[in-house]
Amino acid sequence: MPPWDPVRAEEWNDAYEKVENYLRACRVSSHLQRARLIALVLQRVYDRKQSDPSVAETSLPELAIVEVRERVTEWIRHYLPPHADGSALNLGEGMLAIYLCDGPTRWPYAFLDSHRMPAEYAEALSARVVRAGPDLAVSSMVPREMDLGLMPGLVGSAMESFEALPVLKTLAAWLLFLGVLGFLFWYTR
Amino acid sequence: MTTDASTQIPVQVVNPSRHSSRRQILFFSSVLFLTSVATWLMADILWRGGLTGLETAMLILFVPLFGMVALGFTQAAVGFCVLLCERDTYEIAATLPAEEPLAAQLPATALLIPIYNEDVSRVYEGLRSMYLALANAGLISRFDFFILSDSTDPNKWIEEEVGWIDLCKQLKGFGHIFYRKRHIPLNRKSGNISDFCRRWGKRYRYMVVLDADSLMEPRTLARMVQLMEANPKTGILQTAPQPIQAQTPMARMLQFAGYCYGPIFQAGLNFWQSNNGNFWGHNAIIRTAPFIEHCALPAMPGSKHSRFMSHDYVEAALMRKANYEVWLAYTLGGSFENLPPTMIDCAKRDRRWCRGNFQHSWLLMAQGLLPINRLHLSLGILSYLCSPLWLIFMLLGVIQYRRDMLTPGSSFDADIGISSYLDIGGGRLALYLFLATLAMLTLPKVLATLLILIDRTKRRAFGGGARAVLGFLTEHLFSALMAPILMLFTSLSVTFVLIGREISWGAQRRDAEGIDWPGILRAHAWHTAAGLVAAEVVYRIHPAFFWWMLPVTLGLVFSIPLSALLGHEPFGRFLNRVGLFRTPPETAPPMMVTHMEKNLEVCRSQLPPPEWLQKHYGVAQVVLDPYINAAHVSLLRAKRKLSYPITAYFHKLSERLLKQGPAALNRRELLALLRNADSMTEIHDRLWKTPDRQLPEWWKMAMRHYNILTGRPRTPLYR
Repeated sequence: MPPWDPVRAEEWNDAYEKVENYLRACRVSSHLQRARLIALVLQRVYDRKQSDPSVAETSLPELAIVEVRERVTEWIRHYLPPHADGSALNLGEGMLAIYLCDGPTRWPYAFLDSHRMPAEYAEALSARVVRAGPDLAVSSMVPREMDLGLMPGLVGSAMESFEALPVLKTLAAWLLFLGVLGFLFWYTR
Repeated sequence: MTTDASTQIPVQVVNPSRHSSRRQILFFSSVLFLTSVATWLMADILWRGGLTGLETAMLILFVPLFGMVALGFTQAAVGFCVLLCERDTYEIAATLPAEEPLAAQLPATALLIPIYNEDVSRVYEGLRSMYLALANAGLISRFDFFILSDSTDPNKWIEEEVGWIDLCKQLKGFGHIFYRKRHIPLNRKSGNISDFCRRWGKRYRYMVVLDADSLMEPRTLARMVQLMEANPKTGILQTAPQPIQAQTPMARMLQFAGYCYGPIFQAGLNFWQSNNGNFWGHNAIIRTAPFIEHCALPAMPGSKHSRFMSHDYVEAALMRKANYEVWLAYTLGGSFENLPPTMIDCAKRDRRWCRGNFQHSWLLMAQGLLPINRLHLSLGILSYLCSPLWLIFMLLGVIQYRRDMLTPGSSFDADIGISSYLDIGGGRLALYLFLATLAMLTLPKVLATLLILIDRTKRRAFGGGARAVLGFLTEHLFSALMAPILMLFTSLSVTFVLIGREISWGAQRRDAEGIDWPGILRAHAWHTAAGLVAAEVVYRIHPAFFWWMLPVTLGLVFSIPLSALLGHEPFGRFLNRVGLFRTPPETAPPMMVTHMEKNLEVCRSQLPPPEWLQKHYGVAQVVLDPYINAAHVSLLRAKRKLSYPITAYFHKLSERLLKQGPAALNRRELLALLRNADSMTEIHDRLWKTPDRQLPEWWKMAMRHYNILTGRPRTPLYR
C-alpha cells in the first residue's frame, strides 16, 4: 500500500473506492481477492505518480482506474491470441472473453492473477468468440408487381390526393356529416 | 404408399384438391341454404304490406349477419361429424403414419422468434424449454433459434442482449441460438421475417415462425418438418396453437373455450378449406425458398406505401397464388401460446387485427389470387364489420319497434305470408327466428361439450363431466354478457379505421398484473353510459321491451365490475382451485410448460432494482458494467467514419447522459447513443475515470446499487 499521506488521504480513499467498485462490477466477489488487487493497483499508482511526471496532474481515482484496466488488458493478452493482422486485443475484447466463459464466477481467485490461473480457464478464454448470427447467405426478397384491380387503384389515387391535401379530407368529412343531417331531415318528414 | 427418396419418409399420396371443391360446394350450399331460409322468414316478418326504407335496411343487414352465424354453425356441425367419426382423411397429418420415428433425417430448420419490447424472461424461458426439449429428443442439431428483435425500448434491448448471452452460456447454445437486433424496425413483424429471409433464408429449407409467447414441443416440430418433406407442394403448414398459462378468469375462460370448442371449429374449417388454408402468423412452418420468391408483401396504395399489418393472410394468399398449398394441421397438438389476460387487452389486440384485416380490402380484387383466398380475406373483414352492423341492426330494430308501437292498428301481428299458413302471426314467427338464431349460436358449444362428455379420457382431462358442463354454462353466460361490450369496442375500432385514425402497434400485456382501475374506468365508462341510456330508452318505449333488451343492456351497464372481475388474478386462481374452466394442460401439464413455469417463478422471485434505477436499468448496465458494455459494443455494426456534425451530436448526448443521467435523454436519443459503438466505449471509459464526487447523484447511486446487484446479477435468466 502507498505510505500514509494525510494531505491526500481523501483522494486515496476515492481511488480505493473507485477500484473497489470497478472490481465489483467485474464480479470479483471475494473480499480477500479484491483487497489484494486494490492494494496492488494503488501501489502501482503511487509508484507511477512518483516516477512519471506526465501523470502529475491526473487525479488519483482516474489513474487508479487506468491502472486497473491496463492490468486487465495485459493479463488477458497473455492468454488470448492477437488478431489475424497482428494487432493486439483491446480491453473490450478481453472483457468479452472473460464474460463469455464466466471467468470470475467459475474461477473467483484467478482474476488478474497469472500465478493462480488454471489451465482450464486459460483454455476457456482463448476459445471464446461470440457470433450473433451464422454466415450470411444473402437472398433477394422483393415484392412482385401486383395488379390490385380498378377500384383499389382509383381509391388509392384518391387517398393519395387526400393525404396530400388534408383540407380535402376535412371537407369530405363535413360533406358526409351534412349529408347525414339532410337525410335525417328528409326521412323524418 | 410411396417413398420420398431424399428423406426416406413414407408418403401416403392424397390428392385433397380432387375432393376439396366437392366439400366446398357441400359446405357453402348448407350455409347458403340456412341463410336463404332465414332471410325469407325475415322478409316475411318485415313485409306487412310492403317494405319501408327502414325495413329494407334491416333486411339487407340481416343477410351478412345471419350468413356469419350460419357459417359458424355449419362449420361446427361439420367439425362435430368429422370428430365423431374420429378420422379425417383430408387432414394433412394423415399423410404420415402416426408411429413415424422422429429423428428421420430432418433438414435444417430455423425457429424464428420475432420480438418487440416483450417480457424478456418469458421469451427466453420459453426458448430454453424448447431448446432443452429438442436436445433431449436428440433433434437440436437440426434446429437453429433466431431471436429477431425490433424492440424500441433501450432497456429491453440491453436486457435481450444480456439474456441472450446468459442463455447461450447456460445452454452452451452459441452457434444454435442467434440474436439479431434491427436498428430500423421497417414493416414491423413481416419486415423482421423478410430481413431474416434476406440474410439467412437460403441456409434453411424451412422456417418455423413463432410468437414471443409461443411454445412448441419437439415432437410437433419434427412432425411438421416431416410433413413438409412428405408433401413437397405444401408451402405453409399452420398448427392450431392451444392456450396455456391462463391466470385471470378472462384468460381461463378463453382457454377453456379454446380447448372445448376449438377442435370442432378447426375440424370444420379444415373440411372446407383443405389445401387452401390460411396462415395465422405464428406456430407455423414455412417452406423458405417459395416464401422468399413469392411472398414479399406488396405496398398498399396511398402515398405512405406502408405494408400490410396483418401480413399472414396475404402471405398465405401469395403462397397459394404461386401454386403451393397451405394446410391447417389441427390434430398435431403440442403447439401453445398465451392469451390476453383482460377484456381490455383482448380489445387492444382486436383493434390491431381489425386494422390489419381492413387493409386486406385492397386485395379483394387483386389479379391472380384464388377465389378462396378472396373469401378468406372477405371473411376476415366481415368478422370485424359484423359488430357495427349488429349495432346498426339493433338500433334500427328499436326504431322499428317504436314506430310499430306508435302506429295505430299496426299490422305486425296480422296473418300475412308464411305466418298465416302456420297460423302463428308475425310476432310469433319473429320469436321463432330469434330462438333459431340463438340455437345456432349455442349449438356448436353444446356439440363440443357433448364430444367431451362421451369420451372418458377427454372428460377426465377437463376435470370430469360435471366440471365440463359447468364450465360450458358459465362460459356461455359470461360470453353473452361480454358480447355487447366487445361489440362496442370493435365498432369503435372499425370507425377509427374507416376515418383513418392511426392505431399504434404497442406491445401487448401478455400477463396478468392485477386490476388496473383507472384503465378499466377509462375503457368502460362510455359502455356503462351507453347501457344506461339504452335501458332507459327501451323502457320508455315499452316496459316489456326492456326485458327483451336486458341481455344487451345488462352487460353494458355492469361492464366496469365485469371487466374488473374477469381480470382479477386471485379470482382466477380460485377458479383453478375449484376446477372451473379446467383444461387438459392443467390436468396433465406438458413437461415443457411446467419446466418453463418453474424457471419463470425463479426469475420473478429475484429482488428487482429500486424503482428509480429499474426505469433505466439497461442503460445503467451497459454504461457501468465492463462486461455488458464490451458485449454490447461487440454486437454493434463495424465502425464507420462519421462526419463532424454527427460526432458532435453524439458527444453532446454523451455529455448529457454523464452529467445529468439517463432521464435527461429521450428514448430516441438513448437509442441513438446505444447504436454508436464509439460513444458507448467512450461513455463507459469516462464514467469510470471520473472521480465519484464529480459524478451526478444518479450515477453515484446507480454505481452503488449496481455493485450490490452484480453480486446477484439481475438478468432474466439468473439462477
